[in-house]
Amino acid sequence: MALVQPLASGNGMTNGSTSNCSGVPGKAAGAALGCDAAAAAQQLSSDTQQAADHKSAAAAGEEAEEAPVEEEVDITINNVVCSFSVRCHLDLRYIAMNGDNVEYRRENGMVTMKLRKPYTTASMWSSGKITCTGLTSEPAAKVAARRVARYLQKRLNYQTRFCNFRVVNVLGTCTMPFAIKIADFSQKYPRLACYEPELHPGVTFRIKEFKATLKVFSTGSITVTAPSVAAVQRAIEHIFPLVNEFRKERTAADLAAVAASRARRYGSRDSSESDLDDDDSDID
Amino acid sequence: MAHQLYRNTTIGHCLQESLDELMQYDQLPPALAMKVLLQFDKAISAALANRVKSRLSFKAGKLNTYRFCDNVWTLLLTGVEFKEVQDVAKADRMKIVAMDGRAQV
Repeated sequence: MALVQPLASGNGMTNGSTSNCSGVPGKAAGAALGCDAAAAAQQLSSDTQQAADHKSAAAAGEEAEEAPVEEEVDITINNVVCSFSVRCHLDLRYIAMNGDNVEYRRENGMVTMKLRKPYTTASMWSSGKITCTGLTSEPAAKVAARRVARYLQKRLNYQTRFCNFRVVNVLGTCTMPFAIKIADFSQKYPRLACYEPELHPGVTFRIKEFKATLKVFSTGSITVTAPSVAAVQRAIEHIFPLVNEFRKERTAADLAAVAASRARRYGSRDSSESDLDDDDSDID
Repeated sequence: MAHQLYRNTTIGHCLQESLDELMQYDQLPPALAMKVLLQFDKAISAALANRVKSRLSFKAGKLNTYRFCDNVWTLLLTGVEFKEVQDVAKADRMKIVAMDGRAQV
């Protein structure tokens, strides 16, 4: 897929995660997402009225689409949280004294062990339950979990049994190639959307079907928390038409703000500084 | 009360050996030896905090392991280079045992 707006950050982890996302069971769905977005966007950019009609036409004629020109949404998986059990009681003090890369704070009652590859933080309780956070894909979660269990087995001589592995939570983010009128969007879906501008600048949208919670921001960024990577993908596909209806083309100030946040994320300082000056003068 | 971290140093060991020798010859009761060590803990902490002015910085190639238990950090580093104005020393492996300076025992 041609990527005009690469959202993966510079390091290898997120790069891995974006490619994993399209390789997830939903490969066709992932490609279809790109096509659908492109088709819908192309239709809308050429014909500003009758958004819903064109969208349904685009969905129907989706198979015979030309290559997506622009407007594909890249979903970046930022955090995968998994939980499993080693089925034996863990002596936290022994692990803290003899283990490597561990921290034991008594007030939390758990030992925190960090792995370098895949980069993760494993929290262990004395009951034998372990939680791994900070991963970027589901297979990496399995690998990290097994690595932790293996460490306990080999180095600390515990009789571990790897069981009850499940991915508990996945956090994904994506940026729409357009800004969103969130006030109108939240008014259209009063039961599903919750918008309190004084509390949080984004709309909290819950999709019961996928058990997903999405936060929609006026810049077009959306963050999704769901129980699996596939659910994140389906949630984005589900919300795209809903949000497309309230699209607002980005002004120069918006584009500058997006570019600034991306540059800040990639570590370059010059563009963000210059953009701070721009924002002041371009208030609509 | 200062922590007994500095007993495991060259100067601490020398003091302990001297006290053991005096105790062996019955010239020092063991209770007094304990008091001396406690006073040593306080004195060395105060001296390092107030009377030492020289600065030494170091940089390590890799942090091999870290550990945090009972408010004590243990760090194992490799490829360490100490610098004080001019390049002073290198160490292949280095172990740092660090405690909280504000800790109350």
